[in-house]
Amino acid sequence: MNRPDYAKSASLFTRATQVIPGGIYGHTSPAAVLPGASPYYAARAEGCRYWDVDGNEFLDFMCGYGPIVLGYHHPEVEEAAARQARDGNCFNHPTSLMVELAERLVSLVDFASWAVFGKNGADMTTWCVQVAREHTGAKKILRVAGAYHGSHAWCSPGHGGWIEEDRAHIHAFPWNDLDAFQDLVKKHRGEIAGVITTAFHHPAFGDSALPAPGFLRGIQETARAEGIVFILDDVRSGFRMHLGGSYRLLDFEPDLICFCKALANGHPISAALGREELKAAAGRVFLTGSYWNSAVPMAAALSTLMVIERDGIIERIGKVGAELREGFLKAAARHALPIRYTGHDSMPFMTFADESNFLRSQFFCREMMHRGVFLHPHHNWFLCAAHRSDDIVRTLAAVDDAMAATKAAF
Amino acid sequence: MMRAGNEMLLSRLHLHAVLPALEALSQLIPSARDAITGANFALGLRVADGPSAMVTAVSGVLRVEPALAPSGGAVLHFFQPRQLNAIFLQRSAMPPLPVRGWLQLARLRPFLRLAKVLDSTLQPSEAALTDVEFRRNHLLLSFQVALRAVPIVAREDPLARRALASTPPGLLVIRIPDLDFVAWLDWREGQLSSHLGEPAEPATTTVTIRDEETARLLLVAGIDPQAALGLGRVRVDGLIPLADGLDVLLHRVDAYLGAAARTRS
Repeated sequence: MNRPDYAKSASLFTRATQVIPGGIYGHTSPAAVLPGASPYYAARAEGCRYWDVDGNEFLDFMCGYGPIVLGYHHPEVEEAAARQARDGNCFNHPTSLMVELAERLVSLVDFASWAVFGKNGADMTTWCVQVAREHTGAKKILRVAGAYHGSHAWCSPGHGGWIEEDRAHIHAFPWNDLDAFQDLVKKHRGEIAGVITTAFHHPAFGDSALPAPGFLRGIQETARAEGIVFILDDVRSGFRMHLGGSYRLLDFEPDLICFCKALANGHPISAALGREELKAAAGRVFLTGSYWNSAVPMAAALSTLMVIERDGIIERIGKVGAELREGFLKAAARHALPIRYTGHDSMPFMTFADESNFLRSQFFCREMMHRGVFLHPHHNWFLCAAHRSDDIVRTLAAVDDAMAATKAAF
Repeated sequence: MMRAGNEMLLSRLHLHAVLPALEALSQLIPSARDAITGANFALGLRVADGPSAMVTAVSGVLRVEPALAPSGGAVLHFFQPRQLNAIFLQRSAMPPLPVRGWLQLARLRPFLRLAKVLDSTLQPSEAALTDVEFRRNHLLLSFQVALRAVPIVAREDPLARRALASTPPGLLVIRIPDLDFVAWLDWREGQLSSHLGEPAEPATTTVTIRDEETARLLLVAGIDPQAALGLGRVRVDGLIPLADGLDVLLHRVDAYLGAAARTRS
């Protein structure tokens, strides 16, 4: 085990603090990971590995916090993007790729008849909220407490920059509590425009939770009966659980669905798709951005979707994800460390069962980073198609050592 | 920025967070100790429909209580919180009305001397801060004031309450090894309390401030807390959202006490 040296990361960060608030902000802020014990700046990546600016190599289980589904620098996707880049990216008009991509996505998502595009997940979740309000004429939005739907004022997990009025019509209910959802519907009957959920609950600083039987179906049935638009935020899990949207695995069907992360294997694009009856409202909600018609990410998205389907990527990720899960559970048992291994196999998370303050998780992930494996102590992990069985074997060897160290330290 | 109408909250901070610093001041700073050697007095400060406090000295030993004693001593009544705040901020204001023990006012000279030392310790000149011992005492007292102020803003400031509503419960310990400073905040069942010293229970979150200079920069908002974490000048172990919540509370304390103090310069 060689403890990584982060001198260049530290030096860059020192410069950054002079010109960038917080040095690095948002989800990649060192404050949210393991300050001083994890890299701050990346240099390059290939497959399921990346190298930081100090030259440290990491076997990566965050995949750029989700976008990398095929592996970094996938040759076919990058070739498609480069080909389009040679022709141009930003024009006065969309390119034909926008039509092709919309047709492709509509063909994959069985309830949808139209698609629109943005850059980030929050572009789409916020726009879908607007569409729900436009369609219903109602104001209120129901959401799951602790779920992440982006950084906009109505849903940001941050403490600053929003006012009470931004959330005056946003009401939360606990994940897997259908009764609480239905109570809110009763309380605000006739005032609710939409309900937004993820396919499974994957909050930061918390265990993931799959939907209880009947939970999402129950939301769907109530929403239909009450004229409430059901929005699925599939930003994180889209194209990791099912090519046609994660709902296909979970016995329910939303009215609107938001994709981002894995859609273009790291190229910036997001999408929302919806039912025919919401198309008119969608057309009335203004939607644009300086780069939202960019052609290169659309080329990358078409290529990514083709590879996912052609190569059975979702099944492959599921298989190595199961190997990782089984290995973690065996290692934990071997070291008599009770763990909670939660979430879908393609985006799992692990915490230690007998603690809620993440001290052991932080120690464990620090030990993993010392061994060249990037695991996040507070955020669900991501697997990609570039993870092979031998990567899992190597990871589990590090897990074994890191668990031994954790056991000894606590 | 302090919201209009929060003069009352600022007066509570002055009486219940700043004024109690007199106790530590009289033990830490030689000139403060000298100022009240052998002093005997009792002084109450009361804001109409607002907070009150009682400062007593018995043979030079000082106590500050967060309420008036039912009898005895001199009591000064402030008709408006702004009137009291002006006294703390060294601004001109209508003098308070002595409503009890006004014959004892002459015995308050040691208190006035002490108050002067407190002011110069909490709001020091740059020159004064070059003295190592003085800077250390300034920081210690300032952190103690902030610690007492946090539960007050947690109760009364809307933005602090909003931040706490999404902050997970737990016990947060703050350590500044350079200053031998240890304190803890307990946030549970909708109540937040703060205490000096080591907690009896294990911490949910531990915030360690690496050195005296970082502590000073954090106090004067001279360093971004996120940047301080990345630079290794502050370390957070345990449940980070609890520390995030505290960060908002400290920011809100600064929005009152810090902003008010800055208006003096």
